[in-house]
Amino acid sequence: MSQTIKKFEAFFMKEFTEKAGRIAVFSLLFMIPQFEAKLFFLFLFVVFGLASDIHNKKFSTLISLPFSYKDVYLMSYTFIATIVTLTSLAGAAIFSGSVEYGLANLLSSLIFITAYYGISILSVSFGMDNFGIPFLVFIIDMIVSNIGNRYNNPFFAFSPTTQGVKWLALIAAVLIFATGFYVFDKKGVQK
Amino acid sequence: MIVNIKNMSKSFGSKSILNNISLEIKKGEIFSLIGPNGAGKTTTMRCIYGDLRQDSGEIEVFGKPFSPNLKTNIAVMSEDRLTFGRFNGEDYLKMWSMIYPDFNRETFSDFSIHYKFDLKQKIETYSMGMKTLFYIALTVSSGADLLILDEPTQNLDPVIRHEVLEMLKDFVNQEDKTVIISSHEIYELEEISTSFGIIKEGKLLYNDTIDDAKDNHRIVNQGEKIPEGEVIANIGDEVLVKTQEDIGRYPTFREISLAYLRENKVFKPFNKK
Repeated sequence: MSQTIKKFEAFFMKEFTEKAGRIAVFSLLFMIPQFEAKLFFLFLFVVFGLASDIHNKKFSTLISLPFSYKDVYLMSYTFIATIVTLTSLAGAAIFSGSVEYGLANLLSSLIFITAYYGISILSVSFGMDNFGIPFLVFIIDMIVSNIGNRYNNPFFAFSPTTQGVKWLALIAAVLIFATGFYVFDKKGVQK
Repeated sequence: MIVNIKNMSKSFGSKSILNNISLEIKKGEIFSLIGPNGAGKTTTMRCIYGDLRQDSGEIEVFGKPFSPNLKTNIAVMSEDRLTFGRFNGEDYLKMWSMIYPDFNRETFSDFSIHYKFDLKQKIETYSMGMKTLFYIALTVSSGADLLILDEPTQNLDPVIRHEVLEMLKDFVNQEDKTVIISSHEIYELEEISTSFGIIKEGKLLYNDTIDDAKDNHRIVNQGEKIPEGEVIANIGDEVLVKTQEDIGRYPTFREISLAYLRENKVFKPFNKK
């Protein structure tokens, strides 16, 4: 257990040291209280994380250390989720003043990053890039989930962007995340 | 057995890189993987420490099927010497101390003083030779029982190169560790290796201890009677034969390596008469 905590500590230290500037800028943007307004920033933060390291062949520096594929996947996600949680809560406290609204906003952000983290890792695991394919999915997601009436468009309910029915969107996001985890662990990086 | 690989194959897409590799590395050995560029040395090493997944075959490390939990006992220096861009020496020291439970700071300090590492400087800005020394310092200090060093003398000057090789030899003998290295430098490998494997085009052509390899081969002059056994290759006017017969002379490690790598396929574009 203590070794796992040390690994987390080492990973967080690496992320904070390597990505300090990016984290500072995105932290400010994540304080925007409206989920829809910060959607694209969340997307950018996710796709330029681990998926970008893999795509740009920086991953071998990490995996040659005592980290497993599972460790890296979960630690990287935990890191993103921690930053999003802390900054969203801070943003809610400063700008909205409502606990309920702040928590709802946070839940929406977490559902979104969970789904798109899985999508970005799936993309690089299959040898594609970290930005183009997830961005295409993002655009399609935005278009399809907004077609027609929300009551007769089932995609509206579980889409990571519209999240018409929160629990359905959460289940969909977790499924995508789990698929990414499974593929990343089984397939590994092919470069 | 520290590493036991059975029938390992690996492809990148449609390109086959490793083809049915099997080898064993015992505790306390310095095992050298020898081969030309693109032979599959680095891929073999990356599969051993779990960076790459083999397509087929089995890898056992420390007597168990490879599992990421074993990695705290494996320290790696990769060929490209990639570093975390913003990490300085102190950051690396802190990180390695956290993730390697038996990391020895005193050993690292000895290296740091001897090679004059500036721990405040970003490692990314070190010269390639200094990066190599820095990684050697980290891996040796890690407390891991298995070190995997890809081209450990690359970019080092001859004096430092000799010093590093001697240090690795002492490290294995005194600390009872195991080291896997890859290199093109056949001369220096003979100085420190206890066993070796020759790899070419993804196939392991031969592996043995250095002493047994010399025992199991003979060099005979061309025109002399070839003993019973397997003719490996011509080396100049001589022929390397794998045989148990006591004939000709014993080969050097260099002759064995070159002969297996040539396999009688000598490239002579100018000699077409």
